[in-house]
Amino acid sequence: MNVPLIVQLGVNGAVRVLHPICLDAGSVGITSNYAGSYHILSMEQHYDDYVITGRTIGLSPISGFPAAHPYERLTGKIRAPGVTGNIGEAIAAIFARRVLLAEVGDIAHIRPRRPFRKRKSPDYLMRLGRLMPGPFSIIAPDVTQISWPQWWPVESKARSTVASSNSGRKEALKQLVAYWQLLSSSQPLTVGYGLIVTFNYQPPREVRVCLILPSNQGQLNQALTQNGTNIDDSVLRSCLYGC
Amino acid sequence: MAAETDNFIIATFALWAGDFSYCEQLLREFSLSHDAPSLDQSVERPEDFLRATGVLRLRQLWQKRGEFRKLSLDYTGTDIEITDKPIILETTHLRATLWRTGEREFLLQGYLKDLSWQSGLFERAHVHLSGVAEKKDSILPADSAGTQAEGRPYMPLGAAWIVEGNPFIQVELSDLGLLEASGIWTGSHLPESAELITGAFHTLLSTLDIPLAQTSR
Repeated sequence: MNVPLIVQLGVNGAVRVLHPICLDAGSVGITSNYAGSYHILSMEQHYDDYVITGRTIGLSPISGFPAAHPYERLTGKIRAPGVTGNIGEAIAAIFARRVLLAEVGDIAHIRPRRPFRKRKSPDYLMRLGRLMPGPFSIIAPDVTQISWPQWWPVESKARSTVASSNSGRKEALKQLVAYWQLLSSSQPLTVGYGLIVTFNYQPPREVRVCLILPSNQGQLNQALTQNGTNIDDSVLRSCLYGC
Repeated sequence: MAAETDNFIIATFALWAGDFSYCEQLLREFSLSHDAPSLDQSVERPEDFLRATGVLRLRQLWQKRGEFRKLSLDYTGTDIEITDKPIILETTHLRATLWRTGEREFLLQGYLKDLSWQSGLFERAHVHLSGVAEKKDSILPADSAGTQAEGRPYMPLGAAWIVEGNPFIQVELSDLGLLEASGIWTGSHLPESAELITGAFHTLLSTLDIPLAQTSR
């Protein structure tokens, strides 16, 4: 299943379309088994059942055997949030490997898997500094002025609608703020950088990767020192590109 | 040169595979040998998040090990003891667990224990792909994977293929170098010892850990 891939500056800024990304059942299945927070044994089948990946028509044909898909078994059922959550957590790693050309050793999955606690760490830390701006060069502001940090916090989510993807990105931004707050006193130059990856898995499908960059890092650090994670949206808008 | 953080990343792979002892060993080296901070306090650098996550994973692992021991007490005194230690298969750069998942079904979960072998692993897998490949949705030939020709989608970096024989094995390698191989024993009688099964899976693992030049001789 080839899904349109979009890069965006911030969560509201300039948007550009890249080549689509193939999110086949096998890739998403194994990666979400690894990175997902929920214990689900057959992510590949779940993923294919939920989104119809094209796996069925991709099988070598056997004369007289139809490419039947069991999608309508979902009648009277609801998609398990754990399954869609696991799918969401996989997409960022797949994007980083294929599009950013990150090495396996550049992708550290750190989501704490601690329920009922305010999250203070992102899904991933990725060592992307040497790979930036890469595909983001078409949306980034003057890249010669940017000092790309080595490690990047990355949030990854799957949502079923455009509206819920939008709200997911805003939620993810708050999670990045929590990460920055922990580093603001010791590593102020890393504050304001991050990636947010969202996968809208029902039509109109898309993978959107938001590049979060500081436009006023000093003010953002000051706000984090004074207010912790309780930063007003207007402050984020004034301190981050495209937010 | 191996990065300082490699042990953490390999430990996450080991945990995925159920290679608990190795995961514990790596996390102890990475997190406990340093003064890892808590995720609730300020950290000095991004790598501290990895160390803190390592400490948390160790606690979670020990808790689950305790639960397992309590749950498995119900089966003490029976002929076969339940264990949390699967068969471990190892080659120079790869490590894998082998589980029995059904009467005739077996699952290998493999991963890089040396991240410098990443390119070698994918190259070896694509040799299989160009041989007896399983056709998968939208997967293109090996030479297109990972490259971005005009207008073409970003394709999976991994591969899927089959190994004929008994056990019959279906193999899949993911973008992160995680290997899953499902085997089914096709004989009418089960083998009398594990070696016929472990041998087949070990051979599979070995074929992914040989430099290409060596195999072409």
